[in-house]
Amino acid sequence: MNWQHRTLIIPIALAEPARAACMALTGSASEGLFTTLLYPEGSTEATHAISSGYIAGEFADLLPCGDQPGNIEALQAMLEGVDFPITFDGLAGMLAMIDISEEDADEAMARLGLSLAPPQAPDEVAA
Amino acid sequence: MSPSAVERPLHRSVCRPFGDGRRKSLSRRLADIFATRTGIWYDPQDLTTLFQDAQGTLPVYRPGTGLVDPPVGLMLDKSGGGYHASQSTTTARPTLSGRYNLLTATETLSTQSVTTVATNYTLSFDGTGTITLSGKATGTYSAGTHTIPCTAGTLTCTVAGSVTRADLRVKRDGSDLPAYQSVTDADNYDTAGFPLFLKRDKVDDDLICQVPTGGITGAWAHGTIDGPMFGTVAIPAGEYHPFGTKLNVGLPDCTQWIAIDGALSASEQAVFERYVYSKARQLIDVKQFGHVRAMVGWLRERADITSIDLTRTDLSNVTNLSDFLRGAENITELDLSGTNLQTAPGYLAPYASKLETVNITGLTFIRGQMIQSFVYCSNLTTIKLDPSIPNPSTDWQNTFWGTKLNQASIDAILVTINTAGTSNGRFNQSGGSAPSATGEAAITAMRSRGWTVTVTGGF
Repeated sequence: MNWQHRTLIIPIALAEPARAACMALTGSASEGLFTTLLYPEGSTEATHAISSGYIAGEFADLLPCGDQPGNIEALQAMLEGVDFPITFDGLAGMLAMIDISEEDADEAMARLGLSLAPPQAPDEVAA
Repeated sequence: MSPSAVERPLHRSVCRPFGDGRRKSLSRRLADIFATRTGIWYDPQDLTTLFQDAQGTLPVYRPGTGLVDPPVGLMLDKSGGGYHASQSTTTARPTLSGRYNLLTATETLSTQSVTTVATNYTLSFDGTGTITLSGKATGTYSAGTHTIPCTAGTLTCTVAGSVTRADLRVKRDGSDLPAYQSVTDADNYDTAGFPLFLKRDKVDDDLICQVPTGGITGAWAHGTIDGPMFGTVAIPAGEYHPFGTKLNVGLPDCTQWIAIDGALSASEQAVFERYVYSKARQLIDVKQFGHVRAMVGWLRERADITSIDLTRTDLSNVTNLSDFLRGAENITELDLSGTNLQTAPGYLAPYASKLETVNITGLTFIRGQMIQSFVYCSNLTTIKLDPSIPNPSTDWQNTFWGTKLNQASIDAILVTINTAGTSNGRFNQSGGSAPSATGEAAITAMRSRGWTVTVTGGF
């Protein structure tokens, strides 16, 4: 298996449709995608979700990543082939909203000003 | 030093002869323990038990052999019970590594930069050249072995002349690893003599198993490359996360993971512990974790853990124990007696709701505050300490808020603070007993030095 490391950071609103598209292609190998929440600096409200680790090279090669534009046509064709209809523009729009990089999760999160845990809420006790 | 030479001393005292005079290995003796007990035994160093995919169709390959460190989607249970741990989502699989040396192209080193954490490193190399460090450490070094204190960030190693067999790794006094690990690049390195370990990214990596009806209650060990953590667990039946459910915290890596149902005899416990030490090539007579500076959230929200043995853990370089036991809701006792820390254990165990007794007799630290260490430990009754030893912390805000300290404990705490003679601090307490006249005298003295003190009973 050709594994390639990717960190994918996605707006929360897109997490579910993106996961559905990935599951259409890979089944259970994608069922836990985008379930880890990210928070902007100073906020306790999550705005993004992250997945970071290896994905199969056959899919990694088709996704945009850094300077690599990806192959949206091929991805769309694969999705149509598994009965997951999506327009080219819809798919391109979704991918444009996902930050995909080869960076470690920490680097990608720092670049985007996001973090895993919300800022430590002060324990609510009387002074 | 050969692996066998390292393991022999550890094994000698616990090996027992077969009837024909041969000796059983620690591994065999541990298997004997499992023969009569339910349990879970994960061994990330046994490649025959690891698979890249959750279905078990793609065996892992040895790390360092030309491909990326392999993902682990399935880890078989060696106990015989069949409680295998798996992860179907590819990005959420831990990886298997054997990399200790941070450098690359180590046979003949050229200038390069590496990422360090805040701790001591060991730099060793041969040759007539020098390495000049800049960034997170400084200095120019010739051939030999050197201890390098680093802060977190980027360390640049500038090479002049011939530098060969170079190795830069975290300094671990309690281990007996080969002194040199040859590394060509991230995918090509030598693992002979280096224990393999599971690495989680602390983002989404997780393995999950199904625990049988009745659960597992008994001894527990989680070996890491920095040392083993021993204790006891009570794992309920059903879905279980051996590394905890809070994916962005937890112990840093895994060389071995074992839980055994039922009470172990002293000799069985000895086998169990020596096995875990030996698998990571760690010396049982040396306190482990000695170089570790941050243990943030290591056992956070681990409801499965019922006790933890820190008596053989070297915490002397620890500067941050925040949330170490936060929400560890089934731990009842914590023994930090005789522990020397760099920094006070602020935020140590908030919401550890069954914690009843904490022993901090002889606990020392150089700086830092006790703030919120035990906030809302709602069953915390007893703090054991020596009130004649001054405690220099001046911030005890919420440290004992929502607890039920007995009078002897609140008195002793107040006396130990007052004995330090510090000024302008803050202390509050809610729940539990009001201080006696002894504690009140300490409060009066503290207030005369500018302290703000609020205690149960309103004195």
